[in-house]
Amino acid sequence: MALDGGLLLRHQVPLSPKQPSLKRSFNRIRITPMAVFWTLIIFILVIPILLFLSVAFSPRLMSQGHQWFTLASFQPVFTGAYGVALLHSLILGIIAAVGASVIALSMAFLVLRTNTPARVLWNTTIFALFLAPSYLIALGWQRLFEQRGVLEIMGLHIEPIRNLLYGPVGICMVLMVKGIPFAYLVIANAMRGLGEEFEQAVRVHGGSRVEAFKIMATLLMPSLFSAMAIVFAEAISDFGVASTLSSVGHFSVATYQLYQGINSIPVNFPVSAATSITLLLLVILAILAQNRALRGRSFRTLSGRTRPASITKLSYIGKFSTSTYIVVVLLITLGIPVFGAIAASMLQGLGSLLSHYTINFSNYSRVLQSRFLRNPLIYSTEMSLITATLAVGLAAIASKVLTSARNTRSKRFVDFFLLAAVALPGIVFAIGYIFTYNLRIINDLGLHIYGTSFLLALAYSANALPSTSRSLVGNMGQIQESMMDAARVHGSRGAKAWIDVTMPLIARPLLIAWLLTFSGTLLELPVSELLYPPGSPPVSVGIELSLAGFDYGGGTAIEVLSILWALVVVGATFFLFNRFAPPGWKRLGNLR
Amino acid sequence: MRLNSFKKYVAIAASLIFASLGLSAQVAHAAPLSINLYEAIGYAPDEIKAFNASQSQYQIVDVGGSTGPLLAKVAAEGTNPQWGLFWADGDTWAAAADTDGQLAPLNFKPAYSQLGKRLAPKSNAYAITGSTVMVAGLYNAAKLSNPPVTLNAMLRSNYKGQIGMNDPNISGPTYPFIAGIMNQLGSEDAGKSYLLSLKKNGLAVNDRNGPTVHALEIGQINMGLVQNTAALAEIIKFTANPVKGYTPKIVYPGRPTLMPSSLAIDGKRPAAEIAGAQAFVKFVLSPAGQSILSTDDATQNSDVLCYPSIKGTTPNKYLPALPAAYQIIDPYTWGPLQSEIDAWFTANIRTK
Repeated sequence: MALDGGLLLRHQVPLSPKQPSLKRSFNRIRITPMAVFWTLIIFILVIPILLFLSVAFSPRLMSQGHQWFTLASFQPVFTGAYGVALLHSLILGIIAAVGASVIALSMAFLVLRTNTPARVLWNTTIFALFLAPSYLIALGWQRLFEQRGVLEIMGLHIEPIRNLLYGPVGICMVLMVKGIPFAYLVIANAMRGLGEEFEQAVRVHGGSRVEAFKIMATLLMPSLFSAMAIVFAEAISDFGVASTLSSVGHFSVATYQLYQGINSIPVNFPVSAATSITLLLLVILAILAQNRALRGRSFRTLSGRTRPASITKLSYIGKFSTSTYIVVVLLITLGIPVFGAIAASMLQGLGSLLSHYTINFSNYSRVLQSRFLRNPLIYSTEMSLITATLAVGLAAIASKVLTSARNTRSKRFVDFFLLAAVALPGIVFAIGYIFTYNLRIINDLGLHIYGTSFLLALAYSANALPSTSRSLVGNMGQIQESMMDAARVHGSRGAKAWIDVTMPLIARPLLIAWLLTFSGTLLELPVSELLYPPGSPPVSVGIELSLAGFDYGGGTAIEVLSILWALVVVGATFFLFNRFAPPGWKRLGNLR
Repeated sequence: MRLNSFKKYVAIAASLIFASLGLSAQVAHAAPLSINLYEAIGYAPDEIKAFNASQSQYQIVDVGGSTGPLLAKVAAEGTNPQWGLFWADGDTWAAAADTDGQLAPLNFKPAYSQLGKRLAPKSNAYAITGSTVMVAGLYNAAKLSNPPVTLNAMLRSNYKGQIGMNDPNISGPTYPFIAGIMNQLGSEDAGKSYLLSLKKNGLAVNDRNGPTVHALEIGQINMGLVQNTAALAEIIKFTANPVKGYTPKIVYPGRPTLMPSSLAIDGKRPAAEIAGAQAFVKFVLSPAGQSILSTDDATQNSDVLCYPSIKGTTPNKYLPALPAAYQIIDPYTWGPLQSEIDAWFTANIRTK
């Protein structure tokens, strides 16, 4: 029965102007930013990961064997030795994650909330820390602590320490050191948005400084867990550091099995996929721990009224002790890789201070003409600029999903796949891309994107998305949604409301996320090596080829020059932001 | 209403950009006589440059990388391969591809030298472009005046803790060395037993050539079992800039294995591309292609320090004579055993 009693029909009033059916169908399709986001997530993250994992059960699906269904690939995984290796990976991941986050939290507090003199030193070097490759960190450790290494030459008896370092302790330390800069950026972003109202409230009500610090740490929980989750996932997917530092100590990690499958002839992807599935089980444990810690709590503290926190004035002793702490952390996090770089690229002779040696720049002047430097670096820079822009756009939405108040399926889904992308070594991720985008059916649809810069940019973005998203989670979790609602109620459209209300609050975190992605992509190797377009090698591949040709000095020199170039881009970007960004965008979180 | 329109236009614009990028990629990808060469050979870019300059019908495109990731890439491409040519150290991968019927014939008989004939496959399914020695015992003559020259000598107590080698799971060329020991000693079990004895005598295992050579430089070990190209690069470096107390020299313990470099053609590419790939192989093995081995600077590119496989080729000036005794292992026999032997090495030699 018609609700109008048939009035419209009787008077032959058309319900709506008649439209051609094609136009009507088109109008029904609502292409929203969220629809584009989910489509991209499915195609750049979910399908490649699932297709790679599927070969563990069905090798034939991806032409990796004859069986449509088998569990034989799991045979090496269900052995005592692998169980021990998996346990090692879990413990390494937890220690590296907690250690890196605790150090980063203390560092963020000292740098942002106190007048310790060394904070300037930290602020100017933070991106250099982030750019230090684990290869140079591990190399630096080795050159210092190895037999007849620098410390022994200095007359120190370090054998007991060396035995510890060439094993789990050393691996943990390197992974922790590698995680500190990322954890710092995430936590510091959130701390900048916190203001100090909550700590003042504690103090006004008689709480001690320690209690005020506890409140602040509690409010930073989303960013702390974000940092820990990424460092944990990075640590369990590590292979290079563990294999470099465990050859003497014989310490096995889960990824060793995974690489064994990839490096065998013929390549055994099913075993690698089965190993990857066990790594993902560890990721699920991490997510469960995070959900349990954050469940049912609100951390929305960032509003238009948030004021930058005031600086705690330290006594002379306080200044000295905190500065010493910062300098020691810097010496470990930056000094050691710088030493590794000098040892590998500038130290002529035996690569140590043991015997006759000279320090010069001959490797640097030589590689300036190298075919592995100029064009590859330009190409990598272009790709990194595109990737950073795309990844930050996606990450802004992903972090909004991750910080939604409700623990929805979509939130758990995004959370799992973002962490999975980190927990799986880069080479596995790239192989998933080849499985997906080299399928004949994809080619038959007219999509020939395998072997193009376009696919490389998508893979880079997917690879960067987890850390980029998590670097924004702390800030996104702080934003009070009522501000956007208020703007909409007052007639502002969605996009405009976002730019007017949200953007000023997160401009600086977005900028840092962009730089984080740019820096992380510039020297990315595993994805680059497998997906670069024929004839256009990125700079990381050039470095790898130099090292493979036993030109360790030249390869390291290219790496150092690339890092310096990245720092120039970072510096220039900060300059442009500080010079041209609207004042409101710079108000929160401005570096002091 | 206006907002929805705005979103729609943004979405359409984004779709057009993505589609056009895909389309341009398609155009680039479909260039008819462009042939991808997946290679892990240092002088391959020079061969490509010379070949592309020598004719206008084909364009070889370089996809350089390390052997392991490139083989992983080929395996991942599965039944839709994108490589036209594959060139890397070793022949077990080529033999496996030949066994699977993946390779196109060379379509000509290379003018192999006596050495080349011994290394080349009977089926002529792939070309041998040269060979290196696995392994050379790189030792510090300033400290070790009497290096071991046989496998049994390396087990003597006076060499305890002085010898290092690479991990075959990480350093691809190390597997032929291990297979060579097994071949020389008569069986896989005898080889395993020998490696266990070597381990008891303090064998140090590093990832690959670089760390093993560094361990020698700083005196952690006194002899490193590495690929001869790595050993020669070290000797060249320290001959040019000598350091007192460090005199790297080479000895060949036992009968080292010759490891060929193989160049293979993908049999699944269109006929025109296969013809172009065959022309490239012919060029590499021609006097013009072979001359690169002697003209390229070995101090910058150690891969030219290989023993030529083609009659009449002048080897690089830094290349010493072949070891007096050497062996060639059958890739069709030892290739399929690699996974099992590598796993054994991990469980018994690398880990406690």
